[in-house]
Amino acid sequence: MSEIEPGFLQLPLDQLADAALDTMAKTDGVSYGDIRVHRDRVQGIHVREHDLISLSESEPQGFGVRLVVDGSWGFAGSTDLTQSGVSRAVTAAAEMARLLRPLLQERVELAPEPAHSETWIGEVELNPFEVTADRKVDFMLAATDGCLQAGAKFAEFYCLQVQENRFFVSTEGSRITQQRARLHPVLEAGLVDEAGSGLIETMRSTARPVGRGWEYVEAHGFPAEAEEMVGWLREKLASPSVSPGPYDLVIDPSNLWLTLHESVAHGTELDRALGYEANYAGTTFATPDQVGSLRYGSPRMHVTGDRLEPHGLATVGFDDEGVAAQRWDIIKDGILVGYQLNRQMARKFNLPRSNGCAFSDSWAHLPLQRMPNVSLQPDPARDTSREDLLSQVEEGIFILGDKSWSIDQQRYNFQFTGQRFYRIHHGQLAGQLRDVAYQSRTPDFWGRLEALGGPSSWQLQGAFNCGKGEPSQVAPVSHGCPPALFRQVSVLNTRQEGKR
Amino acid sequence: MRLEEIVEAGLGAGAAVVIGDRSTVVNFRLANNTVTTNGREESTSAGVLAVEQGRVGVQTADVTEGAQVVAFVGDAKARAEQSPEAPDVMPLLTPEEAAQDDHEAAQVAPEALPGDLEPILESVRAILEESRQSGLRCFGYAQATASQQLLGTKTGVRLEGRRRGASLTLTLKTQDLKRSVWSGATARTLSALDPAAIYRKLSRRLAQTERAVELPPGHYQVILEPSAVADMVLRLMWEMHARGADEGRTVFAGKSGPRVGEEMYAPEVTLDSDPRDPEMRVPSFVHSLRSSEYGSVFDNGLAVPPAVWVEGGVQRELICPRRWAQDHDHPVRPDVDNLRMRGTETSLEEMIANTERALLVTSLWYIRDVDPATLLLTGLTRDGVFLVEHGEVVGAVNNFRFNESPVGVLRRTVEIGAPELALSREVGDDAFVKAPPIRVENFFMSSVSDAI
Repeated sequence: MSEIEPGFLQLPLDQLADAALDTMAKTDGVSYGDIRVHRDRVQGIHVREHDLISLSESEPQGFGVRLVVDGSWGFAGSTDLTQSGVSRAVTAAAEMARLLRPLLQERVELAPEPAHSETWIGEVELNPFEVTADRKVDFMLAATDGCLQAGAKFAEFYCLQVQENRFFVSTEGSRITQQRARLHPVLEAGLVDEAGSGLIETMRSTARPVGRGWEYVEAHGFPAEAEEMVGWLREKLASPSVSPGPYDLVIDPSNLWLTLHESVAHGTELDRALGYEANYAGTTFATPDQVGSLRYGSPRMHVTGDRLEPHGLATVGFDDEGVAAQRWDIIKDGILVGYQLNRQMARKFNLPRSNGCAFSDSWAHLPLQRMPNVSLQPDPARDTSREDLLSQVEEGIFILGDKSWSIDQQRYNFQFTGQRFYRIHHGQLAGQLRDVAYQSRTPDFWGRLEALGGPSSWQLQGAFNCGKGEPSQVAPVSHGCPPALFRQVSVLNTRQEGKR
Repeated sequence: MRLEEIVEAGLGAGAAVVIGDRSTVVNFRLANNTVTTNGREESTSAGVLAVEQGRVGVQTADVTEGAQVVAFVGDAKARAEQSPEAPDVMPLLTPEEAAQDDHEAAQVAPEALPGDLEPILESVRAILEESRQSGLRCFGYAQATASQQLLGTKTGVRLEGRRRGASLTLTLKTQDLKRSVWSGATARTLSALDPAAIYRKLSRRLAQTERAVELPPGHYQVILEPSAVADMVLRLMWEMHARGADEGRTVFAGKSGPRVGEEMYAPEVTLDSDPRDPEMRVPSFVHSLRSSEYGSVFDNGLAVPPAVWVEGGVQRELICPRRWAQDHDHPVRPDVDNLRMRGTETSLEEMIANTERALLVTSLWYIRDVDPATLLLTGLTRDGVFLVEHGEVVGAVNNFRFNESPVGVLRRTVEIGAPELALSREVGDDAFVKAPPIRVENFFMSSVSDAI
């Protein structure tokens, strides 16, 4: 995928941009404006057992115009990809700005950014939209069949594939064309305990959402994993239920990424810290007055933000207000040192430049300050393996894979479950446990971080569905982390929690 | 482009089913006593379903001209040819078998325009001013939405559905952000909402937070306000499909089949739906381009009659598309896009007055599944937990994480108040729900949350 897809370039992009800039120039009071043209290709395939349940493709396409009139934002989006449609939308956006102006107390100001005229493409080997549907469906049905052959009661495989094209032009002179692709293969097998306990157990494969093409799916090793998953499920159903209490935890990157996402990545969004999400997604305990002093966790904690990581889900050339991609520190030596910013937040925070975290999930929505790839760096001094970490635990639990997750609106209290839990006994894995959830408070949890895996153990994980904003927007994001050892974290038994 | 043109262009090119969709939204956000962002969006899209010898292909896209729709039909047919036969194949419905046109739907205005915001702007401006003058901070969101769908099938079905929704939510905090309360309201249009009344309620509630009461985790009698009840019953509703019960995957799976007919909840609990409820009108026919537990693409046009899911504490119905019903000997039961929990005429204030000791919970947040077998959920209380003693609110309590199942909550419900249009805090006005406040015994607060 080294060229922008012709279907996107066939849209009258320059004419639409000219219409936007021309109408903005003729509209009273416009001090800044931009237009984003989006065209996505989204294909979802869902197979269950031996059947194709759905195979659908959608192509949402349209544009959003954003402008500032007398210090007030105005935004309008439309699917009418004509010059007259753009002109009408600019007029509608200006109308929105003027309509809401009486409610405004704080004028919009943006941190500066140089103008960019560039094309950026996120490289993938095998564009999923160039692979025939029957090849993909047959591959997925073979995987569910593998689960059933191994004894699963049910087996499902979803695969969501997305290609995004964006064209951005601003009144400040930027003109940027971008393309990236991503996919998320999810194979899940389930067993019901036929002995009558009523227990239902499901398990997902270890495949991750990635900024890669179909080559990732075919190389993952689903045929072998399908059989393994059913074996793991059988073992889990027969395993002892955990006794609640404090445990030493070794957490695999396949689980820890989500804890990092919820408790650190969301907690260090500056728009949350300033109250912009107080009515919906929430705020954060990591307030701006504590930059440089807030102890987020153990001194081993080094967390970075970036929009550069190869194959990352938040990786771009430029963000949705034309700011070039960057990398920076968020937590260093366990101390809060930085935030995620867009141009408005950077200006409000008296910083010279945004670090490029503006994102909109659609032509229909105004870009918000959204999460970059936020990653926990590995132990820089030693290439510690997972086994090295396990060997440091006398009695504890090793957790793999994410499942249920929940955190409060200020990013303090959280509860996570997982796909698999193994008892650690004398530094060795000693069979699975079930009904495990860990619950903690963010600074306490990260304060209990005692050891990290080394560079070889670091993995990039992530999600397609990070939610925030009103109207609600979803964003794809990656998080890299090594396995890590945490001392004495509270573990619950979910069966006991549910009994009344 | 008109929806009729989309539908006829698609059917003319050989599609089996075409759905034209037009939607508009206007909105604005508030934070720290000022407006922050706003937006207007309008979209026109086409969804086409091709069926080739029982194989299905689907293409949806935003469109501006008929030629695009014709191309999509070609794409959908090509996809169908590469697919195996669909497991839910059924003959498409004829006009005689399908729903009848809902003439009242045509009375619903099809577009949300910037002017739809105007009825509340002056009131919101005054609220922000009052909040500033009072040394408080006000946050919020308002939106109005309108959508219009036109369904056409090659068998001659033509049905139009319209839906309008609006909501306003406000959060009021003290200047130091140490105390916080939330309230939201929903209606079909913003003009039906009263921002000043919501603000007055929040002001009263914020005053009740002046006395802080720290309570530990444990089991409490709680009064859940309608928003929290809406979250609970929606989660329950999402599991009410026959397929999951047949396969043993949900809380509705019994040892010898689905738990239909079983007294799963307190005898006072009744849950039903009616697509033509005048306050929560939704399209009264199936229109879908994706098959799932909740519906089949072959059921497009099927009438959606009122449903009684739970009656007198007994589970009565589960969602079931035609083919699954035929193959598994169940009644056909289409999904409905609204939900009502029946109640009494007792007001929330009367319930509080009749309380010896309970927690009053305003809203719930970040609710996620923990265990499908029991439908155990985890989540948090947010922006308003109050201690009620001897018939009065006596102070604000810290937030909690809860671990509870809606099935257990509705089984331990001992009092039900007067239903109202309720705004699920997590789902927003995408879901139309009428819910009452309810009193629940033994609600499990698993741990304390420091969040404010």
